[in-house]
Amino acid sequence: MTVDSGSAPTASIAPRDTGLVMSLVILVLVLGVVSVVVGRVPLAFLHTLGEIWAGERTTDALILAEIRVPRAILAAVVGAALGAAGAAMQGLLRNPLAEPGILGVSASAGLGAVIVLYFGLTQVFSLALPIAGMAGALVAVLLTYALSGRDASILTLILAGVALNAFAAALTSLALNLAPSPYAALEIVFWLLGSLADRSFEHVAIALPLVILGGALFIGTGKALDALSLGEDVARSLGINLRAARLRLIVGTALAVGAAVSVSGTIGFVGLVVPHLLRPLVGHEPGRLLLPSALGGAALVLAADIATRVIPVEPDLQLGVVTAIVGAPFFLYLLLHIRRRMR
Amino acid sequence: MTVLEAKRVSVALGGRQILADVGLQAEAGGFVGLIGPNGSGKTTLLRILAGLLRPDTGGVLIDGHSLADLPDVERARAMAYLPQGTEVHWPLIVERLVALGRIPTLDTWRGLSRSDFEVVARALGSVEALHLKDRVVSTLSTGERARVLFARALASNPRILLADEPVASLDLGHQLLVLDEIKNLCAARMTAIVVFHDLSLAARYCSHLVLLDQGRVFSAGAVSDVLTPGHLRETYGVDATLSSGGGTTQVIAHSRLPKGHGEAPRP
Repeated sequence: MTVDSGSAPTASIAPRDTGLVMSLVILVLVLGVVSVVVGRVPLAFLHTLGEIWAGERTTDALILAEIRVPRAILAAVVGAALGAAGAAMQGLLRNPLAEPGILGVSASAGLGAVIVLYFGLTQVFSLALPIAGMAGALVAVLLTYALSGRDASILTLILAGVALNAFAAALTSLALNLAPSPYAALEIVFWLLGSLADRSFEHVAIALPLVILGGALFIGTGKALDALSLGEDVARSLGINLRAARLRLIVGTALAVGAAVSVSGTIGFVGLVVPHLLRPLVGHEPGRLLLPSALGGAALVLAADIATRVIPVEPDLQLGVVTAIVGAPFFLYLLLHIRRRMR
Repeated sequence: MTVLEAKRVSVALGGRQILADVGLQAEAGGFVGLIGPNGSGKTTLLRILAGLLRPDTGGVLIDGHSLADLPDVERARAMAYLPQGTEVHWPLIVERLVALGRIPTLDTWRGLSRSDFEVVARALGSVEALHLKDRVVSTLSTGERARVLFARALASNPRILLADEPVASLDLGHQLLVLDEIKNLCAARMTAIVVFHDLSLAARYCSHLVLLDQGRVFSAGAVSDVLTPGHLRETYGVDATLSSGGGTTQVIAHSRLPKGHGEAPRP
């Protein structure tokens, strides 16, 4: 047990999980390097790095600097957003089945992007897609609050999320139904499957600040999440301002997940599986789970994105397909495993 | 000296009047038992005293000042609230769970220190649960969990303890253990307000009783004044014998009165 005062902001009342966090950081860095090295076009990595260093604008250098690097950064950013938001939602709702999209943010961000695709606005303005996604996410948060009131109970929030999810799904289906051409419909479907292909630093510039802002809102909510283990009444009796904590967690999730979905489409199961995977390593304490979950999410999305490029099928596998195919059975295994241990 | 006082508290929930004009006073070192039949408003009153529910009219005073005006953290440092039931949402380690009780005493960015864990160990030890400290809470029996959660409530060293049936799921020995602990703390000037269903235990431990019925204080005061066969007939609707001996009162309910009896509307 450490007596010295820690500087780690998420430390709340946890012993510092330095070992775990460091291991995850190393994992993310290693996967980040692998993600830059691996791709359809074989690169002499160190040689190309030398070219970039020397300022030579060869094709290889361009691929590395303009395609591979932003893609790897985006994978880490999107994964971190989903992982942290999943841990935040599970902790806030005290429900291990909660995932980042439970309040309707993902579906609404997706809908925003689908509307842009439907009207073909991407041809007019290349960043219309992520911006519309962000707008969708923000509308979702405002609607959640309007639907459930400012001092809403957890149940009301979940039900408002169900309504919002259903409505966004309905409008997305409507867009598919009325799609002007089969090609447009296919474009929408493929975008919804989630991918990080052909992204640029412009996408990083859109997503990264919002994910950081969302993550910053989570800082200091660890105590509230921990206290919520004992129920809302006890948490409040311990002096926790639940209304403030709830606002920060929900708005933070909306910003981070909205930004992630806006640049990558919907990538399922990351926000659900990662917190489950890491929870036993932090003594099941929801406050301690936030930071490791962010790192674990980054690692998982990096790995899944590498898999989409390594598995040789045509057309390329979409990222969301890989995470769901691997994630769902793994999640099932995890549930059975945990149930057995708890019995 | 009055530490905690409810003044003419009334509250309606979901259109139903739960409490009407309820008053209660607890002195420093007092052990107040809240008793009354199901649905009489005991839990609601306790939540109002804990500052978790705002009454529609009336108010709660702590040390003579309005509880509503007290910052959340100050309130949390002064009083601990232990609700009914033993649900814990995550399979936490017992020691870490009890340490949650230290939250009000921590500065914003300070983690738990060695001294916090000494307090945690003391709280666990006081209910003979120190041997459970490394266990996962979901693997404990209901009674063990109840003791651990009681230790959580003590872990902030509260001046005021508000507990809702803290001994409901405990065996006989541990019921006495927990109530003895509350009594010892009250001897050291802690104020306890505890909801009881077992009237014999309430009679044995409490310095004062408040008997609630249909959201009103039916009777309040010394144990012998509140626990009378007449009061029990009119509130609980039972025919009961009270036998005193050995410095304590035993309440034995013989039979339930026919429905309608004792439930006469009061003005």
